[in-house]
Amino acid sequence: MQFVLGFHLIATAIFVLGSAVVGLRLLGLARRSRQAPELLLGCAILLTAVLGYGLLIVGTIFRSSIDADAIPFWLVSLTALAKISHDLGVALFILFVARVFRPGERWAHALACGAMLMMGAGLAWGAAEGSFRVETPMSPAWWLEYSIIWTYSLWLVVESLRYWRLMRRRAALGMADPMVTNRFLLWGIGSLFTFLATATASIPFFLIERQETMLAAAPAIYVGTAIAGVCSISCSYLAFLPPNWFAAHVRARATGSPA
Amino acid sequence: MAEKALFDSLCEALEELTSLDRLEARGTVRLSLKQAGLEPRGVTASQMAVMAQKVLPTELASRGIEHADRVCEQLVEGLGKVETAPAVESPESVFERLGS
Repeated sequence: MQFVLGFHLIATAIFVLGSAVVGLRLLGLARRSRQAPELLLGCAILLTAVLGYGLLIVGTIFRSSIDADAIPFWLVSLTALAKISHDLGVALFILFVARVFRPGERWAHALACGAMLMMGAGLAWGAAEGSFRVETPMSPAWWLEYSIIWTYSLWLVVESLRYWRLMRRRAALGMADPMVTNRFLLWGIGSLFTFLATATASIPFFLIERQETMLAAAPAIYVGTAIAGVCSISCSYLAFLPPNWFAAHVRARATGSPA
Repeated sequence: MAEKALFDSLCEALEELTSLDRLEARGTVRLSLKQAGLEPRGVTASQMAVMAQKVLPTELASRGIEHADRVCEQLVEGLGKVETAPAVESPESVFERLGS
């Protein structure tokens, strides 16, 4: 178990640091371009992955040695900051996908507003019931919030892979850059890994009443979440900060010549 | 919107140059756009021109239109006269910038 925990910790550090690099790079781009999409995406990555997960993990480490009744105010505040940051980041991801992929489409903007309202209501309701001190899984507030946290990334997956298919057709007619085409694929796969990481990390919520099963499943959950998280940030890194060797590989594949 | 004007203009020109009626012309253009990976919303004049040169001739020939290549050449010429500034930024241009 020590090995698994060490692996999980290192993978989490890679995920958080990698997300910080990608998020800051996008904010730098937003500063130069003064365009909203890169600002939304950069802030979304920093808020969910860096501030959100980063602080939640720090909080979890401190909580492991404290009884639920004795959790100090600073730790409750840290959890509040982490959860609010994370959910705000999720809202920005939703805004990004609605704005970039579905501009001017009413159903998409209604879906985005509905999802953000549900998540915000769940967060506020849960906070009123004390979820910043102790999470209350299976409560109506928890379902409201987590139903969006689990599923928002699937919208990213669907839109990105749908557009990747369009871009492949354009590329076949010489109308699309292979790197941009590949970026849609990478972002779609990365979002799929985000979904898998979130889903895997949520399994313990459903095993609270079955401690033995939870203990038995814990190593697999830790490893699964860690691998999915690293795969997710690797895809984002290759998409938004592609190294020269990777760009050469993608372009060579597109032209059918060796890299 | 500019892209709607572009789409309508191409369909109307196709209707005039061939025996296709309004519905057939629009359907043929829509199908050709789909095959080229384009959507009527957000398409630019240059993308429309590539579609008209590389995809549309086959589609027209399959519908029994004679001299499909010449018809498409005329369509491409006509596209140059349409105002084409896109009203919204496409996902393609956003993702192009995100990796720059």
